Amino acid sequence: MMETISVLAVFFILIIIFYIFYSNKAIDIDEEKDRMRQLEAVKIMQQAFSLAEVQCSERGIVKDGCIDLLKINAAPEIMQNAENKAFYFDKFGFSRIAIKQIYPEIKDIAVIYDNSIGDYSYKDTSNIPVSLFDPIGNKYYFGVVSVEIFSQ
Amino acid sequence: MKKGQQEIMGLAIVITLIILAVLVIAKLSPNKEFSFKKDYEQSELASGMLNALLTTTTRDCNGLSIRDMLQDCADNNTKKCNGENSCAYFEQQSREILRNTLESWQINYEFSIFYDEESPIIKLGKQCITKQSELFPVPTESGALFAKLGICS
Repeated sequence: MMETISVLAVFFILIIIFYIFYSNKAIDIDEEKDRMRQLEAVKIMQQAFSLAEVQCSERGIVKDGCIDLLKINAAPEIMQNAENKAFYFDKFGFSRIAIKQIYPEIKDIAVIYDNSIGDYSYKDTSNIPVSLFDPIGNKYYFGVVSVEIFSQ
Repeated sequence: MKKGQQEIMGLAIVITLIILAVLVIAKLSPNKEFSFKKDYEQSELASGMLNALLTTTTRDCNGLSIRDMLQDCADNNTKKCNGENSCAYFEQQSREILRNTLESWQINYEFSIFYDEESPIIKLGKQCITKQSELFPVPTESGALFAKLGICS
């Protein structure tokens, strides 16, 4: 009787150990995928906010958190150009970067990069406030850079 | 095997099973969430928001910035914009920007203007404990005034 109980106990312990091992592996893979996705999102966001093509600058000195409204007019044409597509795809992958004005009035300013996909399995949107500089009127407006990141 | 030894062995097996059950439950509980994207986003939100808010040129106040209005509010509150003094105007414009950004994205925040944090001059948003916050000093005649924005987790 005692031997039977011991054998059963060892059997159950082995089953539980195997279960823990495999569930641990599955969790590790999910965590790694989530970690990679977050790293990619942060990388795209950082590159979007420090994009030289649209950043404000004065005598060659870059102003952080500021977007030049005159540069925005030219940027989408350059960034969506077929010749430059591969360069920007390396930077932003499957994402959409749009700039919106919030104050003094709410309006869409421009979509500077758009490589969004319809059949995505994951989508993440981040909004970061920026100053929009109008060099003609020498005024600063309140705006938002909206970064949407897609995964297949 | 003696009866005493059998009981000890049975007890050991029961304890082993309990330990393993606890381990299984611990593994099945929600796995820990990586939050570096959230941390980065919240930090950028707080600093970007304050920086852009203070730099913004007012809608109808002779090209003055929101920072200028805040400085006047702290110094002597003499400037009038749209029939309102600078303190009321600053609060109204800040509230509008915060409503169209953080509130519309359903992000809770705590925004305050103070010399001494215990007695803020202006306070907007909801009070929260866990937050990523940014502090911007604004020079005034009476010393450094602080603008603080905390993003609640």
